[in-house]
Amino acid sequence: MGLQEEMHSAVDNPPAPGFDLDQLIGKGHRHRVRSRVMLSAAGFLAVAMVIVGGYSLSGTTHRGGGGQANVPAAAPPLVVTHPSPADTTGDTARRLTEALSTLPAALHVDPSATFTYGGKQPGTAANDGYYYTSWRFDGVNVTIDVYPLGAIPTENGCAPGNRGDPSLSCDRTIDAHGTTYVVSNVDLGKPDQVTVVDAFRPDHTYVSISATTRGKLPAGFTNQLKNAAHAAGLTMEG
Amino acid sequence: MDDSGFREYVGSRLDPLRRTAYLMCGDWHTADDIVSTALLKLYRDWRRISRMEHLDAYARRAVINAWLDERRRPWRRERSVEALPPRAVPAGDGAVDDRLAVLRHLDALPARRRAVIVLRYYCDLSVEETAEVMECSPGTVKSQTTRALETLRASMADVSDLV
Repeated sequence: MGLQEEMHSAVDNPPAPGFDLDQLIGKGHRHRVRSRVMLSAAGFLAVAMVIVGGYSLSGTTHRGGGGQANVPAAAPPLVVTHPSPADTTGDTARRLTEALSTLPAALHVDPSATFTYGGKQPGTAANDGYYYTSWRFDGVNVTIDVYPLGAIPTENGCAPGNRGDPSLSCDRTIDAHGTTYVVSNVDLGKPDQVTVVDAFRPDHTYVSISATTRGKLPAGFTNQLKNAAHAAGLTMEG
Repeated sequence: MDDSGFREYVGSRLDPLRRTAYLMCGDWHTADDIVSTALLKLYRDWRRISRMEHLDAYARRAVINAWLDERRRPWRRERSVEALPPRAVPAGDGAVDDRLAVLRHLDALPARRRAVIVLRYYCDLSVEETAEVMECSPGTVKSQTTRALETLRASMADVSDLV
């Protein structure tokens, strides 16, 4: 038997794929949304740092030059705070897992669902990783990611220049819960519905919840996702 | 975004991509990891990628790159297990042995040469098409192919039937 025949023979009767395309697409959706929002946040911070640096530089120059117009002194630097690193990743995962029982019943949280430490983000402290969990009910894939958050981004992630995928609606709400984005195609009558809720919360926590399905998401599901994203227990503080 | 185009493409290409990945790594679980990584990359940029003329070449390249990235991961160098794996028992008709043999021979090749052999002799790509997937010159493909076949000839019993 030649090489070609042997190679074809070696891949005869492959097993069923070990991954789910729906989950893979849901992961892709979340990555797109997160990239866009986080890029907006990074862009805001970069602009802020330039402004702060500019003030700082101009203050120094004017002080040195003497007799100049009144200008602000160096603005306070942006302080990015992180949760205390005293907590271990295992304790945080357990605490977040316990909080799953407080989420709205409409989410049909799988009793066996647990949060897993997803790893450290580059350039952050040892415990500054994120936590994730997911489950499936009635053909709906639900995934929750919980991240530590330094500061709530103030730039509008739904603004024309910041929006990534125009085929998704983008809604931004600022209230006592912080800044909440809802990105979805539910109201557009599309098949393969997806809704992503990103909550940048005052408790230094960024919660991202996504729901994807090949059909239609349950009615009113977006509000339930928002309630879950604002759940007090899903926090990186404590 | 309407995912129907992506789903349709994956539906028609998933099987050959998985088989190609399997020939690269020799393990179906790893092959699925590689293909899912490649598909995720495709999905993220599907709006742009779907308009490409050589979409299949791009998908194959994504699989190859995912495999090469996987090879670089430190945990691939060493793996501890609780118990020794069971000894292989020869199959009666020798078919399983043949399958394992070709994978063992491919495993002896450096990653890029193995990729070239799989693309040329399993995917049936030309030198130029292989060069496009591997993002190298046709001359490099030719030299990699020659060296890979020399290695295989040295290890495979039936030299005359090699290609």
